[in-house]
Parts: sequence; C-alpha cells; structure tokens
Amino acid sequence: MKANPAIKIFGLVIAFVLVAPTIIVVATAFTESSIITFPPKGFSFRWFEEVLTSRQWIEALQNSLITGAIAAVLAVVVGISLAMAAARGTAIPRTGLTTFALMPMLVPLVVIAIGVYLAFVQIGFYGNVFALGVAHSILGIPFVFINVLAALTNLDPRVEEAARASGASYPITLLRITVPQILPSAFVGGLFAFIASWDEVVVAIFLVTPGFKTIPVMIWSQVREGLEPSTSAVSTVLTVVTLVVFGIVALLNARKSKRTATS
Amino acid sequence: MTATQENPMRATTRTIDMPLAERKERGRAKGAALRLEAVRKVYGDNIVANDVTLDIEPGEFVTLLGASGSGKTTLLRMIAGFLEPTAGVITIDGKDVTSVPVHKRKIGVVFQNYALFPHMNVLKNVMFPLEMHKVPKVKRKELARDALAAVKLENFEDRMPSQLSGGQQQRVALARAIVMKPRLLLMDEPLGALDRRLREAMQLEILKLSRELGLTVINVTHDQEEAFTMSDKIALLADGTLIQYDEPAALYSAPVSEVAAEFLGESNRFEGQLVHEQQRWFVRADDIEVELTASAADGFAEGDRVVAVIRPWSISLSSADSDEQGSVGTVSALIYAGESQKVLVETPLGREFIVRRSLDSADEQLHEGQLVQLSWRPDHVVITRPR
Ligand SMILES: Nc1ncnc2c1ncn2[C@@H]1O[C@H](COP(=O)(O)OP(=O)(O)OP(=O)(O)O)[C@@H](O)[C@H]1O
Ligand SMILES: [Mg+2]
Repeated sequence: MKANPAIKIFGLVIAFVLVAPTIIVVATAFTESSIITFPPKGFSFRWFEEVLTSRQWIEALQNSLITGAIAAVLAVVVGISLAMAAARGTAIPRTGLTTFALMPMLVPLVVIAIGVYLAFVQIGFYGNVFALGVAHSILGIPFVFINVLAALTNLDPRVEEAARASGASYPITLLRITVPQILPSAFVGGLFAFIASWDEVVVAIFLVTPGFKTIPVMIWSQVREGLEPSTSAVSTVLTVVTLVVFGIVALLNARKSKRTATS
Repeated sequence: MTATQENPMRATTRTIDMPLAERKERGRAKGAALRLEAVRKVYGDNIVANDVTLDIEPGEFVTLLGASGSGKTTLLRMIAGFLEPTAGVITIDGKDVTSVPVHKRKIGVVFQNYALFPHMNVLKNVMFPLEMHKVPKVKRKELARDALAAVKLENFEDRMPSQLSGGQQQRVALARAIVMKPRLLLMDEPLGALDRRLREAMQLEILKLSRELGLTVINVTHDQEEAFTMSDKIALLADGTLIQYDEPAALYSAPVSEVAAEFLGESNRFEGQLVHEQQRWFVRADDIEVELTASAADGFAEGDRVVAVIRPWSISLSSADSDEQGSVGTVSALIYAGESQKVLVETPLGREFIVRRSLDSADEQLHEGQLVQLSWRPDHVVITRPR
C-alpha cells in the first residue's frame, strides 16, 4: 500500500515530536562540559562514570529495581487471580470485576497516591522497598489483568475438560493446566507492571524518606536544584532499562506468534 | 524394555472379528455397563434430550448417530459428567453417577479437536491421568509408553502437541484416554477433523483397540458409514429423541420410521397404500407398485399408509427396449464414487431412482440417456411408517 505523502510527512513529524525529547536527553548525557547544552560539547562517559560510582545513585538504582520486582510479582499474583475470577468465576459478575481491576488505570494517580499515603502512614509502612512495591503493584495490576484475561478467553475449554476427565479436580486443573498456559501472558503483564513502577514518581514521592529514594524521585529532586549532565546520564540509564524490558516483551510476542503460526 | 506379561494393550488376539456374544463375555470383566433412564436436558424451552432411555452392555461399541443439532454431544457430555441432566438418572455398573463429578467417574474421553495439553510434551500428556490417579511414579512412564505403543506412536514422546499432525494428535489423545484403562470410553466425533483415508484407518484401529481392551465405547458421529462399520449398536437421535436403538443390520432392514430410513444412507422411498392381493403384498403409489414379502409386511395391516424403502445397492439395471413392461427409465447421470458407481435413473413419470453398482462387476457399460430396466427382489424391500 502506498501512503499519501501528506500522511507520510505527518507521521514523520509525530515520530520526531515523540522521540526528540529522549534524543536530546540522551545526547546531553555524553557531554564533556559541566552544564547541559544542546547540542552537547565533545563526547565523554564522565557523567555515566560519576553516576555509577556514586553511592547515592547506586542505592537508588537498587531501590528502584527491587521495588519494581516486588510490584511486578504482586501484580502478577493479584492480576492472575482477578482475571481467573472474571473469566471462570460466577460469584461476581465479569463487568464488575473488570471495572475493579482496571480502576488503577482510571483513577487519577494523585488520588491513588494520597489514598495509599494515608493508609500506609497510619501503620508506619513507608520508606522501604516493600511499602513502595505494594503501592506500585496496584498500578501494575491492570496490565497483568488485561493480558491474562485475553489469554484465558482464547483458551480451549475442552483442554480443561480433558484434564477433568483425566481425573483432575477443578482446582488442580486450574493449577496444572490453566495457569501454565496463561503464564507467558502473565509474564508480559508483569514486565509492564515492572515498567509502571520503574519510572513512577507521583506515588513514590509520597512514600520516600530522605534515606530511601528511587531513581525517578532522585531525578525529580535533583532537577529542582538545577540541571546537571549527571541527571541526563541517569535518565539515559532509566530509558535503556525500559527499552530492554520492552525488547523482551517484543521478543516474547514474536515467539508466541511464530508458535501459533506453526501449529 | 522388560516385557510385561499381561498387558492387555499388547494383546495380539484378533478380537476384531470375534462375535459380539463372545466379546461380551470377555468384556464383562473390563467394560462398564451404562444405563440412561429418562435422561432429559432442557435449555429454556428447547428440549435437547427428551427422556432418553438407553441400556448399554459391557464391551459394547455404541454409536450415537443423528443430524447436526440432534443432541448427540449433549447426551455424551451428560454421560461424561460435564453437564448435569435436567432430569433422569445415569448409572454406571448399576451405580447412580448422575451427580458424581467428572474426575471421579473414571472414564476416558476423546474430543474432536484432540484437546491435548499444549504446554506438555506427548509423554507428559499421557502420564497426566496416571499422576492424577496417584499411580506410583516408577510405573507411570512404562504405562504411558504402553499406551503410546498401542496407538503406534512410540517415537514421539518428546514432541510438543503443536509439532504433531492432526492424526498424530488424535492418537495421543486416544492414548491419554485409555492409559488408565477406563472401563468406559466416550468419543465425540474423534475422527471428524481427519481426511477420509486416515479416518478409515483410525476407525479400524480404534475398533481393534477397544475390543482388545474390552472397553465399552460410546462414539458420536454424523457419518452413517462410520456408524455402520464400527458399531455393535446404533442409537439414532432426532431432535433430542431416541428414535431407534438397535444393531446396524436391524436398523438397515427395519427402520422404525421414514426419518430413520432416510438417515441410514441413500434410499429410494415410495409412499403409498399397503395392499394384499392373491396372497401377495404390495405398496401401491400413484405411479408405481412395489411388491414385498409377507415377513416385511409383518406388523402392518392392509390399507395402512406406508413407505417402501429400496436401497440403491438392491436395484439392478439392464438395457431395455422402449416397449418393455415394468419399471423403465433413462439414465440421467453417472457418478463415480470410489469403487462404486452411482446411477441416477429417471422414469417417464418424473420419479428419480438412485442405483449403486460396483465398478468391477461384469455389468455392461451404461451411458447417459440410455433406456434401462430397473429390477429388484421383493425380499429387498422394507416398509416403514411415513414421517
Ligand atoms: N449451552 C447451550 N444452551 C442452549 N442451547 C444449547 C446449548 N448447548 C447445546 N444447545 C442446543 O442443543 C441442541 C443439541 O446440541 P448438540 O451440541 O448436542 O448437537 P449435536 O448433535 O452434537 O450436533 P453436531 O453434530 O452439530 O455436533 C442444539 O439445538 C443446540 O443449539
Ligand atoms: Mg456435537
């Protein structure tokens, strides 16, 4: 199909607008000078060196990774359960459950943040990876839920019946036959949940303490004090991790579609 | 591998040709007896199973036959336990299982689309029922391999289902269904997705296997040929009602109604009045008179409205001169179908006959437009009630 030239140009402009900020930030990370300029002056890794040798940044990096992992795991567990209940359960109507599971996507982030903050501060649960991980898992649930529900809907109910006829009770069938089949989709949902936590600032700001910060929060506070090329370097690291995760997702999807194509 | 002494899956006896009575004797120990008592299933006001009562003896191979939507799958799913009947009782070996959950019924089920576990390889698929029934771990592999050997799939253990052809997948599904040596095997159009040649080969293998194992089998199909080749008995369903349950030959020679006659393959049917003249019986229609034997007329009375049925194979053709008496017609079409030839003959009054002849018979060559004489023996005529 040949695209209309006007549409082509429009597409290019949009693409440029979308990636330009990223390119600018990444480019400025490699500057030699001590202030952010665009285009960057010279080429060096000094700002990356500075970041990766700073105890503060390394700690923040660890905090972000662990928080993201906790958020992803929790989101996968809860997301799968909700999707199962929506697809197979009869107790709660499917639309009700779906609305509930997608709520974190619909409710304004600040509202979630304030809600979580009020609840967690009450019980003194903040300022550590677990508190933020739990809070972030809420944001990741919709990704897992949507992915898993789609996978469940595409499953062949006869396969589960075959398991039942083979002597498996209903719970065993879910555990041994249903869940393994939707695990790849749940994993992809989990990766999205990780990303949702990895670059999240709003909820994080409410739950951090001076001794416990994540990368996005560090960037945020640093930017308020004045831009430095090290901020660009950190942002680049942040972006690279995100891209790697999306790369994994794309790879998994490609493998899946290849498998279904051959079968 | 060490030889297991009495593994029935390796039995070599040619049980396939054994008469039913003898097989029943063998089967009694292994196959289950199944009984449906006034089993009913209603969706809204659609009666999908209408008080079906059916007795299936141990070791019998029974086919549920019927048009699409006649309720075959529904009936099978109630026997399996996937569906609960609206009313009625299902017993296996005299025990009421109507409300026993599927996984406790100890039956083998084979689905049309195979329904293998896509995330497990062939061996694991077949071992799954063994694991569920807590067969000791050390025995599982051997039993699964025996089952795979029984379906001639020895070298596929490590393949994933997506790496198998349809026929191979169906063999795995069959192995999985028989690995626990169930006493009852249910199959819903197990061969529906296979091509004709493979289907015929599998029919024979399933039959052989089920007889060697002495299984009671309930098979669903809407292929009447398959029903005839495989079954000890056929249960003919129409709109949720069991209209006839009998041996294939009996179904063929004594259909209870025109619906039954129609379902059992092509037939030439003539509706008319039953007349008895000079010790002979006839069905008299407007344009034709068909003679039948006294035994065929048994159970009917003179003056009844009946339908005479003549099977395409029972009619023979010979070239005719235009002035000859009897049933004469012109050949309107010649259709080759495998080893047989189908001939359509149109009579001067517009009635069409379907005739089948074997190709290698010494019968003379026919050509379209040719005038032919139709003849059949009165003892090949059966009568039944009109619809
Ligand atoms: N869950 C359901 N709800 C309502 N009606 C149903 C349901 N399942 C089946 N039916 C109806 O019951 C009737 C019998 O269906 P069934 O699947 O048993 O037919 P079948 O004989 O197996 O047909 P086929 O040869 O096409 O597989 C059909 O008219 C179908 O529409
Ligand atoms: Mg069906």
